Parts: sequence; C-alpha cells; structure tokens
Amino acid sequence: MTDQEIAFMGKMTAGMTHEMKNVLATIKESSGLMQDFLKLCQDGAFPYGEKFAQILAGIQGQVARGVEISTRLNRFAHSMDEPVISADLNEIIDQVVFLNQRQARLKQTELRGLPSEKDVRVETDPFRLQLVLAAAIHYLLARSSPKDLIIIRPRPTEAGAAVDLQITKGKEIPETMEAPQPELPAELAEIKNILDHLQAQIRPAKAGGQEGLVLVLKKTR
Amino acid sequence: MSKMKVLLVDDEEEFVNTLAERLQLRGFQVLTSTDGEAALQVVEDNGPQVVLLDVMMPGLGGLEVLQQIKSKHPSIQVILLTGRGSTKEGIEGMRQGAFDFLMKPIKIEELMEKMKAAFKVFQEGSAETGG
Repeated sequence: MTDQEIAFMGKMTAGMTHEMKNVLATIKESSGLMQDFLKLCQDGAFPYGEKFAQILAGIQGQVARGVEISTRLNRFAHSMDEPVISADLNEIIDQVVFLNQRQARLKQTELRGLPSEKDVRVETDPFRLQLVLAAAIHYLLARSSPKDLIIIRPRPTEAGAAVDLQITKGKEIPETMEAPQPELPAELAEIKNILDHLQAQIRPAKAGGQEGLVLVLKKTR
Repeated sequence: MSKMKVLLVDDEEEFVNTLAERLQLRGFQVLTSTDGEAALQVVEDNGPQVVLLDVMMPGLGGLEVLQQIKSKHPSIQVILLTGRGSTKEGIEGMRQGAFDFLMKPIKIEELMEKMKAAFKVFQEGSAETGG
C-alpha cells in the first residue's frame, strides 16, 4: 500500500471510531438514566429492581469495554496519519499488545509488553512498525503452547533500538537473549519488503531455551 | 447558591436529551441545542452560566462556538466534550479559553464536579465585573 492509501484508510477508520464512541456515549447515558430512575423507586416498589440494577451494571461494563476498544482502534487509525514520526517504542508495544490480545487468547497464551524504563525512540513509520511487530507476535503464537507467556520489550541500542520478543514457559523471564541467527525466518519472508522499507531486521534468537525474535531498528529511517 | 443554568450542545440528539434529563434529575436547569449556531442564539436569549460543548459538530464546530461565546461573554464557562482518543482538541480548547474538557463517554459524577467548579468561577467572574 502507498502512504496515501494508508492515510486514507486511517482517516476513514478514525472517523468511524468517533461515531462508535458517540453511540457508546448515548448507550451509557441511557442506561445511566435508567439507573437514576431505578434509584428513585422506593424499596420494594419495583419487584425486579435488583435484577435491573445488575443488568444495567453489565451494560455499563460492556460500554467501558467498547470505549477502550474504540479508543485503541482510533489510536491505531491515527498511526496512519504520518508516514514517519519519532515513535515511542514503549507506547507502540503497549498498543500492539492490546490489539493482538484476542489472537493470544485464542491460543490460550498470555501476551505482555514490558516497557523499558528508558525512553526508546526511533524515527520510523508507525503503521508499518506495528505491522511488523504483529507479524512477529503471530509467528511466536504459532510456536507457543497453552499457558505460555510471550513478552515483548524494547531496549535502546547504539545504532537505534531493538525489540526482544520471547516465549517463556514459566513465570521466570530471561534477562538476555542469545545471539540472533543471521537469517529471517522463512515464515516471515512475506514482510521482508516492509522490513527493508523500515531499514529493520528480524532475527530468530533463543532465550532461556525457548524461541524468540529480535527486531533491530535503526535510529533514523 | 442559585440554581445553575447549563447549556448542553451536541449534534447527537439522543445523547443531548438523555444527558439533559440526568442533569435535570440532579437539580440543574438545562437548555439544549444540537448545532453551534442555534447554541449561540440560546446563549444570547437565555444566558447560561456554563456551557457543555461538543467539539466535533457539523457546521459551526465546537472550537468556533467557544471563541464566539468567550469573545462576547467571557464570564460564561465552557466545558468541552471531546470524542477523540487523544487530548489534543481539549488542550487546544483550553488554550482558547475553555474551562476544562471531558472525553466522551463522560462520567456523570466527574461532569458534575467540573460543572460546579465552572459555576464557581463564573460567579467569581460576575462578582468582579458586577454582572
């Protein structure tokens, strides 16, 4: 896709997420108004008061969930606004982890971002970087077993930044990864042109005996 | 303390009607409008002390309405309602004179707190100008 096509898709998606939020806001106020009237009923005046209160609380909970999803989708859409930004890798990883939770749940695997205490930034294309990170996550999900934990953490490097993606079997998280292998895994060959565009590399690297990947990014695209 | 008169402006009619009813139940006098130009007329005709204003509306947008209200009635306090995932518009609105902003969907308790704080500022401003 060209930058122009990506920006168009982002603009359309952002507009729709805005509309979704308006819908959720109206549902929230309508259910809130029902709660208000329920509170005005004297005790015992409405025989199903408790049941209604439970149902309304359920609606409000789902609205909150919908708001979080549409907020994240809106943020994703706005990541298509600019072809190059100074990207905060902690933020990008937090976003990618959220957007891929469903895939992880289907594999009964936990997906967790571990933010760096340091500011880790690279000049890059935020949309394509998310695409690459998602492809790496899906690669590891295909190799994970139920109850595995996949951790994703950024770190600054001399040349820019790297993102370690590791499968872990227990709660112990290996501190370091072994030296990465030189070749891009064949399963990720389809994103090679995107990696080239980002001037990035993905290499397999084991951590604590388990499979992992290292994404290497240059400071300036 | 006199009863607060609040104008609620949003192009989502059902949202406006429902939130207005919730605020009325809590003792506020609520005026409503579903477009920016009509809202400016309500301000002239009814003199609300606090305006709850959606940022993204067709026609006259929220930030334009804010500018017009503040230029003619600086003591009226405006709370912006934004629907976007970022705080950008809200911060821009505050730079242009809005009292505060809230992301939609709003929490009624949070809204009421901000409305009360805005009303207090309105009263202080009116006392200073003798309004």
